[in-house]
Amino acid sequence: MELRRYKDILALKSEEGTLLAFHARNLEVAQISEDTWRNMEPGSVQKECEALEELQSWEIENNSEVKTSKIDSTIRFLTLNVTQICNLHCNYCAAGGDGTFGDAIAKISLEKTLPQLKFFLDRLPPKVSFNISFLGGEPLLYADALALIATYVAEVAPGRKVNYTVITNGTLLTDKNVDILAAMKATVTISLDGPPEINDVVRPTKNGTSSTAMIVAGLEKLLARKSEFSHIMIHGVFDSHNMELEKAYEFYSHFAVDSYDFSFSVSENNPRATVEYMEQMTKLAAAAFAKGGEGALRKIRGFEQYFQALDHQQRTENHCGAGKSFLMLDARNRIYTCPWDVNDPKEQVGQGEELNEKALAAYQKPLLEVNHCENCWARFLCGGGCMFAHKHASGDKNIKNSQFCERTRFMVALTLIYYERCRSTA
Amino acid sequence: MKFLTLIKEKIMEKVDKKHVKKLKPKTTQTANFGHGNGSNPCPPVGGDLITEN
Repeated sequence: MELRRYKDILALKSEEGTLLAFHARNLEVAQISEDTWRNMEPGSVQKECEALEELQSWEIENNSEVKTSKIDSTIRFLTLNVTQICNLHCNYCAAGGDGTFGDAIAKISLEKTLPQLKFFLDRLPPKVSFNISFLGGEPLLYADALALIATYVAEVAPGRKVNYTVITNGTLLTDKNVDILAAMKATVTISLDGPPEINDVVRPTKNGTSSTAMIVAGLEKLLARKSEFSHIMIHGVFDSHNMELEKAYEFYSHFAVDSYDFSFSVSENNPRATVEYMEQMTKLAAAAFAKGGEGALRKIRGFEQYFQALDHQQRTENHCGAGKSFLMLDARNRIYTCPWDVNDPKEQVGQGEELNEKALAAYQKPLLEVNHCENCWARFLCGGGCMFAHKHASGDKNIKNSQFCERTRFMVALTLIYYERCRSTA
Repeated sequence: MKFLTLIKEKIMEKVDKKHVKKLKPKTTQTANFGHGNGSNPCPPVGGDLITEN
């Protein structure tokens, strides 16, 4: 694809020759003429003409329908490590390489955790839902904690809508554990990086044996009771050791889950991996669209996210709610703003029921502003990017990781091509 | 009169949108904004969570 820019308008020519443009502030997509495209050629002398006038007129428009999503400082999302040990040994693990974050803890103290959860629930305004995700380590190594927490929360906040998410490696989905997840009407995210010949290499068990057969058995158990869960998703992580997204997609397609996600590893900085990822996502989008049009494409989380933002003209001013609406609690009840900062004393922003308000104050400005994204055409679909990925590359969470930006802009541009295809025939 | 207005609008639409034809968003699906609205995208929570604010 080829891109051209006129102020806040990005124009794009797809491999098939389709011309379209995107208004960065208004989140509008338009088909454009050849004349308009020519007028946007870098270095071209712009002559007064109808096409240029239309482009200029569109650029200065401000769409009053566009909504912003400035986040208030109410913690509505918590991620909790009920354990910091794992039965797998994934070769890209961002949790200290072995699920422990360098601080192995088999079980969180519920005596400390339950009051900590109540502390956050009590601070919440009425009618606002609360969201708890269980990460780890492998959370199902201490599945009883999930059940006890859900029971406790229902007791202390009876009228509150609480959504639960469990991110699991899928190897411990016993009947008992599936019952626990179903009782919570959980959203379940299963980590699986592809077919057995790939997944078993990148996500082996601690003793080096295959994990895929266990995951598949667990997935089938969940899918047999699908209506009892809020959402079931398969999530793959890809880096320079495994960039086989197409093969993963083919394998995932055997399971009737609600969605798939193809994440680029937060700790991968190899530029070649970024190029391969973009190539693979292009093939993936084509395969999904050929298979089932918009529906199949939007089953892939990255595309769904941008389709929603474009359809609802909803700006994203923050890539995530870190420190604003989201906090991370580790298995020692220490508080951080990001799951990947666990056990980094510099990043700790609280303990138990005490929050370091001064430390949190530094997180309250929109990421677009602190990360200086004002000149990026994809800014209102990106929200300033992942602070952890930025820090991993640049040493500073507010100095951008250029590869992250490149991948995001590519994903947005790819989505725009399919969005135009879907909405031009609507 | 109403018919004439409609015709005029249609003609104007064609004139106005000769070079830039905006596509109409489709909003029949429920808005389900995820991480941009404050949750945590990493690791992803499937079917991300609706926020009421």
